[in-house]
Amino acid sequence: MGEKVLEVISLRVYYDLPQGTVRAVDDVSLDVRRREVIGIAGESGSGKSTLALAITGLLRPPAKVVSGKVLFNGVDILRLSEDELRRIRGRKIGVIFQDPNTYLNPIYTSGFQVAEVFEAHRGIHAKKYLNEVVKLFRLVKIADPERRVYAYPHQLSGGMKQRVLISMAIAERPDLIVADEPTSALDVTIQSEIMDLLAEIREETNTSIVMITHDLALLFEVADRVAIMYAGKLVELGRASDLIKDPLHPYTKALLSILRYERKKKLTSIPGSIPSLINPPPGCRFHPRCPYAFSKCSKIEPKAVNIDGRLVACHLVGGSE
Amino acid sequence: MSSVLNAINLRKYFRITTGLLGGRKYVRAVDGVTLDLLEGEVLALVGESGSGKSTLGRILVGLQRPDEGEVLYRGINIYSSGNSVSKKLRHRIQAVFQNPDSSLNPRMQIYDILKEAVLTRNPSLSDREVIEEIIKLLRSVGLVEDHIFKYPHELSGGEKQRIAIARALAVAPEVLIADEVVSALDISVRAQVMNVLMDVKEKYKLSMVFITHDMGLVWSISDRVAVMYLGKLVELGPTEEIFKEPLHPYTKMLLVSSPAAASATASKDLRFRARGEPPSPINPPKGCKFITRCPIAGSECSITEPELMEISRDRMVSCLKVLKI
Amino acid sequence: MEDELILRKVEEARKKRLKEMWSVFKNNRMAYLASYVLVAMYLMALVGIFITPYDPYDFDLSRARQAPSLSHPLGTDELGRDILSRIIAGAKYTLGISLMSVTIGALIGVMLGLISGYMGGLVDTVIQRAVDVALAFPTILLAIALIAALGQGVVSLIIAIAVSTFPVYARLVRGSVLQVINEDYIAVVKLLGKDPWYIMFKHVLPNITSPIIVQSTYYMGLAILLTSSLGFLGLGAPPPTPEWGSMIGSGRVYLFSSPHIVVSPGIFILVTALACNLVGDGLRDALDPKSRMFIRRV
Repeated sequence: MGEKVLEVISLRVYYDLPQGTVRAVDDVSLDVRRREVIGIAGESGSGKSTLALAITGLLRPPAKVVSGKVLFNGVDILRLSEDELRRIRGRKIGVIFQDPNTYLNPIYTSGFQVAEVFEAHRGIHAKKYLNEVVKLFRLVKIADPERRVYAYPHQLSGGMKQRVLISMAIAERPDLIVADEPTSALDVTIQSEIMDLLAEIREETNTSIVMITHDLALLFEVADRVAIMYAGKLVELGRASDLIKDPLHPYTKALLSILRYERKKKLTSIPGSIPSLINPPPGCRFHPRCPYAFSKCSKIEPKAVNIDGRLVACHLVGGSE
Repeated sequence: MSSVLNAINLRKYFRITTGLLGGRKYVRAVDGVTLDLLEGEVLALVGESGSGKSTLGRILVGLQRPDEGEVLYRGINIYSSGNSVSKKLRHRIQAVFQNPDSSLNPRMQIYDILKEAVLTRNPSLSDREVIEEIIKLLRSVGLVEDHIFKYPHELSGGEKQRIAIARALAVAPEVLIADEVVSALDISVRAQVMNVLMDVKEKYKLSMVFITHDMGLVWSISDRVAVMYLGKLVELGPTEEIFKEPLHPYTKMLLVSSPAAASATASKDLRFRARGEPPSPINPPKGCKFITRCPIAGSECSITEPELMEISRDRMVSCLKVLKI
Repeated sequence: MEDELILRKVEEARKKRLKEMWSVFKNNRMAYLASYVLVAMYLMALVGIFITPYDPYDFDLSRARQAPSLSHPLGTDELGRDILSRIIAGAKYTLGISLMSVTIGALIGVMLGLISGYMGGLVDTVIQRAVDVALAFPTILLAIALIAALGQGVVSLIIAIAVSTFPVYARLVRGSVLQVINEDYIAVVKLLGKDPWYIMFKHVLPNITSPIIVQSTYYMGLAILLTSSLGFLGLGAPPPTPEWGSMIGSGRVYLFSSPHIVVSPGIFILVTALACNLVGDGLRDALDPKSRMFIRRV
């Protein structure tokens, strides 16, 4: 196992809203090692996007960090100034977002916008970098890169734009790429292509990737390790192959059985709905929807226990009883 | 089995003007589609965005008059009576759409939304009967009476989609067009809503067109699959056969690139791992439209456009390579 | 559950929603205060003639252009009439004319916009080109031309202002309609086989009321200014009507020697127009269902 590139230590991020305090990320710890693809999966309201913002130093009010650290190469990102962050973000941490349309400026060519990344970090005019951009475009498999660098965003398809965004993220060969729902806006056929591409990029550039998505099936295809989040809590974290074979947390079990589509059978469903993060259920946050819940679950919050390198937060597992 | 709905040679082009003096160009959203919906079946309509599957859905339900062709509901053309769809047939075909935030009028309580639909079917009902009917509908989609007083913004996405289903049921339809009904929902809620949909499908004896891009759901619920590419049907057949032995290279591509379908399909040929994106529907390639992404295309494919042909009982495909073999 | 209980709860939920809107509006202090100012102004317009300290028409050159004093709190004008009395009595003209004209303009504009947006096609083209023509005229010129054609008087004033406001409504409403008719709930109502008028009034109109109401409050302010401008130009309500704009118009000669003649009605115009705008802002927030939405998840 490689060194740790990123370490999140008991992170708590809350939002202060007029309706109350939203506990979006509540005591989450996790680490990312070199050359590793780690997937963070969860439904809406699980806190996964807030976690992504925290890792990339993009948290803005009303979000506030209540406690915890996010160590990137040993430096706590949460304590850096905006200037220091900017130097790290883009250069050491690449970011890929869900909707490429909002992140590409329609009035500049795609090549210029990628070159701007170089300009920002090296301080020489963007035009000097077109050759490097062509190389990058070749790396992210944009066909006909010499011509495409002069294409405006509207002349590119959705998948192509996402490739441009990926090329921006990897331009400075970052140590870490954070991809927040990188394929959710794309078609199924194109999703798999983008996932393949990210996997290849990891091979070629030795970068680590944090992949945040709600699409579990896709995640298990590319991730080495997978973290499952529910209502602001990390409920299970382990190697993707282990999780698929033998999920330990009831929530992981339920999610995976939903993904096993059986012909003409009722789909496995999880009863109830995702809880409010303002008033999360006491004890284990999953207990109202959990088929295995017993009296302890509604009273005491389960601590994450380590079982053969796998973290699980559930009273049924780990024999604290 | 008799068919409830026949789509015959449907064509819908959307005109787009390019610039002030730019010539007329057309997006060929639906380009000569013929399709039957059999009684009691679930017909899955799959394809990428831009394949025309949603436009086809809107034509089938009666919301989009086709440029050419007709839609027959039990033999009667639903677009026949002048400008508006024949009113008597109107209620028999209903639809549920993708976006839960758009499907309910934000100014109306659930009570008003369902009451409107209930009274449409039977205007003479008393308040008491309307309420009984509403409660019955809510229960059939797994909701409780408390939802009656809510406004749409007080409901979750899954609850909104259930209300949308309940509203469609209120007029006792025979055909339901479900356009990506669960794709905007969270995975744990998605399964709940799908189960509700399949329950009511049985209970109300619906025939259903299920439009989706999720091959896993196609496998789990559909009887037949129709695959669309750039406005055309490229393959049609029973679900089990299509998953076991897809014929059209595009169908293979869809199945190979969909992790959700991995357990269901026998098709694992990595030659068909997706590559490239569909060409613009404004300027589709000559010959076979799939030629730009097809791993097995030959020279003949760029010249002749294949027709959808029946190659065995119930199975149709439009591919020169397949038909020749 | 009992049917009656359900119906009662439906009614309660409806009331609760109105209450929520009101509380959002009340939270906007400026708008809330401005709404009181407006109510006060309109009350004044209603009962004005009974509460004036002096007869607003009673002139007496011997006390012309007196500065504000205890007996005449806002002073007297060039003919010796009490300015406070004239402002109180004039409220009904300035506010009445603007209210009437905006209402008429809104009614016509909303109808045209609804039809234009919902029907589309040729109907849309015809209506919108007509609106283009109407919008091409500068507002004040159009109003002047109309008054010249119709003759001076309160009724022509109302018509003139209404004519110059309706095109803006038609445009605004059409835009909102185009947004709303793409919503799925409209498609679904079509599937119920409802006729276009039903859909327009039952489903489209309620969803575009907030821009209309907000626009109307802004236009009230503008109409007050327009009424006053025309009055100032001598095209408004004919003298001796104590319309606020006309008061400024006839007093402008004495702007330097007796500024109070012009300043007092000016302040009333300003305050009323400003109050309209503030109330508009408050309503915009209160009527938006999303601003009250309970945020369940982040």
